[in-house]
Amino acid sequence: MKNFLKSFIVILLLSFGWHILANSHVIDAEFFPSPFHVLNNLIQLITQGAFLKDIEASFLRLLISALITIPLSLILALLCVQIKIFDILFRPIVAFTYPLPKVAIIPLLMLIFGIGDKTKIAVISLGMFYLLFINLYTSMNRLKSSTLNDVATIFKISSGDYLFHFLIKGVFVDFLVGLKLALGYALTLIVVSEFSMSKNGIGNFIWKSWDQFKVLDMYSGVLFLCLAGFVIYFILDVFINRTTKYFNR
Amino acid sequence: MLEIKNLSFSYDTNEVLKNLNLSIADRSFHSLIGMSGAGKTLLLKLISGLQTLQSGTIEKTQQKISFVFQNAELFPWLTIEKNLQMCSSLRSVEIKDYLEKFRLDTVAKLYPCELSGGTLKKVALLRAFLVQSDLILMDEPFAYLDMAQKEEIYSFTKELWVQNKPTIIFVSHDLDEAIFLSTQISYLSRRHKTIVESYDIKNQSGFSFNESKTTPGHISTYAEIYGKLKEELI
Repeated sequence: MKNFLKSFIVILLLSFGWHILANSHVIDAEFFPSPFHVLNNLIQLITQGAFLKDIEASFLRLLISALITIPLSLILALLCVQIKIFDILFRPIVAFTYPLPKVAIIPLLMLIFGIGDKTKIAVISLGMFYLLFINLYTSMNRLKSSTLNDVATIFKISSGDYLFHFLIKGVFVDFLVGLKLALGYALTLIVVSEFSMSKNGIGNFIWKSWDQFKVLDMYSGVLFLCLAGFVIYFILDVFINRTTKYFNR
Repeated sequence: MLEIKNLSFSYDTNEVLKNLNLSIADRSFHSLIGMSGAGKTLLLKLISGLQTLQSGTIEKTQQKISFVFQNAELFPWLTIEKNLQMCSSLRSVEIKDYLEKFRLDTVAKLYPCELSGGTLKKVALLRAFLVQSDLILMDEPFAYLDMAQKEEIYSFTKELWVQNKPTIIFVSHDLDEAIFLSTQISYLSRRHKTIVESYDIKNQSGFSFNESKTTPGHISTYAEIYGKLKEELI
């Protein structure tokens, strides 16, 4: 909680600095409005309800992507770690395609899935998948080369216990760290995918506001994303800090 | 009976064990003593199958093997009860009975990070005995414990061994504890890369650890093995 307060104070101080600069016309308030005006506008947008629909649309896409990628990356990481032939076949594909910017294949995904939600979900899922998979794969391999794996071997732990209580539970904290990174990246991908091919969502709202020169609305959309990212990071950080001690050897 | 014949092992060009022969009787408490780097832990890993043999043979009548590692090596994300249950396939009720019998019932629902070093080692010992194994390999299991904790865990180990009587192969740097606990000690020479001497130890039952250290048998065995260790230093 202390860390949260410290972070909050830093953000507040930066906002005050910006507010003073905007109000004293050192910077152009038309293009760089005071963060407090932006916050006020955001609250109005949310209470009026229209922006809520955009938030709902974006977070639904995020939720569906997470529900697809979390089990998928977990299963594939387990397969690669446990079955050598899978590792030989799948790992080079990941290494080859990982550096590709996911935004660059939006046109290809549009060809496959059309201009709808499926494409957006596919882009977000792809972005999340690599971060989750690489994190899980590395953590599981590290666990497998530790003395704890010797313990599992010597005591002939059953396959079910080995998979669930050893491999999956053993990488739980690393998974949360990967999820934190993946969700941060997913927020970026949501916005980018909604910029060009969407009729709703936070990205669409930001783009539309810019297009109609509603600078305050555009900033409100950006501020909402910052706040959403901050809350997601904070919740996951609290969870990671609370569970880490149960994973230290 | 455990019979090791002509065992050799190298890490690339570094030969660690060379033509090692060793015979260990069933139900004995056999200690391996030697300098650091003599290959004691490697020998345990070869016996357990954690390390693949390069040359030589290990024949053993024992079927079930368990291992007590230098660090307790409990799964940190599982409770003590779950740790024991997963490694032994015993039912929860049976685990509770064992924990109660060995005065560890209060830690059943705790996680390893919530226990002291001494209690962790006790749990690790109990885990090795719980699986009803007939061969237990111990790799410096009492390192990093203070004297009071060591005394307690020595009697705990003896209690477990007397009740189940598995064959134990025990690696240690502490000559006193090896003499106190063992029925036989073998000296693994770093220079010769093999067992150079074995000593039968007279039963020390009835003595506490501190009392045992003052007995003539303990003192003479200590002097003899310590002499070997010093020879290797020269």
